[in-house]
Amino acid sequence: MREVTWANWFGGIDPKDARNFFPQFGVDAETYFKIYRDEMIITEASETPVPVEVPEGLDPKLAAFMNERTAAVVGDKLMEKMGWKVGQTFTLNGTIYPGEWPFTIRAVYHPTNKSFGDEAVFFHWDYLYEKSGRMANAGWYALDLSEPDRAAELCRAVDAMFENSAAQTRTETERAFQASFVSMYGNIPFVLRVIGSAVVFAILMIAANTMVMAVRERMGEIGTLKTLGFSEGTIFGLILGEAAILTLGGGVGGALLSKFLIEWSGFNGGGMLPPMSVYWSTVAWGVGIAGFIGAVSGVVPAVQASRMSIVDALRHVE
Amino acid sequence: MLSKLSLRVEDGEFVALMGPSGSGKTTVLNLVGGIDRPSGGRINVAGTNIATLKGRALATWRSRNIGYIFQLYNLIPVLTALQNVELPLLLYKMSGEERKTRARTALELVGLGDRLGHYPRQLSGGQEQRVAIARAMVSDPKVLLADEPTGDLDRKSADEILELLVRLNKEFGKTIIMVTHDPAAAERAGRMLHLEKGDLTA
Repeated sequence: MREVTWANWFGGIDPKDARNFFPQFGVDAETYFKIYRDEMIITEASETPVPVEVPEGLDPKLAAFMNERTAAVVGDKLMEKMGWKVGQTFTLNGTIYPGEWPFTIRAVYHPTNKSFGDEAVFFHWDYLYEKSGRMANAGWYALDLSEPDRAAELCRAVDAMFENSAAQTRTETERAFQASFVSMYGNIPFVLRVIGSAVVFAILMIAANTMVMAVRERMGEIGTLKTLGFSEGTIFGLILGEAAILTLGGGVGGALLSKFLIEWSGFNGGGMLPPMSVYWSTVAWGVGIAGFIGAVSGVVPAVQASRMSIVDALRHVE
Repeated sequence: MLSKLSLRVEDGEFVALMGPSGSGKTTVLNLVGGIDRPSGGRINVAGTNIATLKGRALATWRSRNIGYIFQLYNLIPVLTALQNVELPLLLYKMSGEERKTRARTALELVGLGDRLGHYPRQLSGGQEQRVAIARAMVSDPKVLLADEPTGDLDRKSADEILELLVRLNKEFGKTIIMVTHDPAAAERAGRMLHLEKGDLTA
């Protein structure tokens, strides 16, 4: 283990607009910004009146922040959204830790990793601890591993270490931690699964209806093709192929669009959600489901059309 | 319904089949073309008893031996004249270039060499029927079956179509069976048959 840091959720609200949510964290600045130095870059910062050294491993631009107890580092997107400037003071109303909490913006960060979010406020955990009357604890610890492959082993070792303490731990990877963070707001995966299933079912119905209508409208053409010598198997394949092109076209387009749109926009629910990215395996699943919908929606009209007698099919010619 | 019907058409003959509606003219045509199946009996066409064929074998036989001309042309509206004529050739192993060449030749033969890229909606009824005739003969079938080919055309266009059928019969030796209500059309055939309540009379 290379480094350990800790942080805590502050949960303050904007006194001007309580619905204007953005996450704030009290962090142990010396270690926190060291561990996460590869996840963000400091784009703007206050100058210090005299040169001040910062602890090893920290960006020198954090000097002003490090030397002021009420200083804050703010995400660039939040700065833009709120119209804040470096050096400005803003106040949050505490919910978990009551009272008015003034902060002075001493640095602005830009995440180099989208999972880090660009709308968060980081401030000194010491400030939180002191102003809360020493009520604040560490909400979580972050461990920087020199051998990430041994993460599972280390998680078990840490949990075993605190098993019989007053503050038991649950150690997990950062990704799992962020996912569990989301679950604090309800069973989002379940809700998304229900919505996804409903959408898939609705699309299946639409695709099936489209194919039935398409085949019905072209029954005369199918009769003509059969008269020309196209076999039942060929007709079956043509209609199933049409359904596949229809649904796979939509599936491939939609899956790729969602992948690139979500990753390009860096959507993270205003910092509330864990990193949003669509894996290639998810794209493959989407395409697979689209293919399944194509097969299910096309198979019934394909069987009907291929089995229909030529004489009956030709009766559909107006 | 047809019962105990016996009909013999010689190779290279042009036969007109007349009769009132419901007499079974189209059914005869469909049986000869293998698009309807008899409940009994024999249907020998081009040396094959097609009553014994079914499924893919019957479809293949039809594609090799029969050219069908419909009253309402039955062209595929989203395909050009050339693509419509190419359709039967998709069932043959040949290059796309050869397929196009053959379809172009067939369309030139029916006088539509300058309408290759036209869609059915851009053609007159007579022109559409000529595309349908080109499609029927592009694979060089032995038999052409025409179900009221002039039924939806004005007199002038009808005469042009009949002239074309006579030419296909005389110059290319195609055996043609044509169902028609039109006595003037029937007179162009070499032999005229009447079907009444399933009975055939010359």
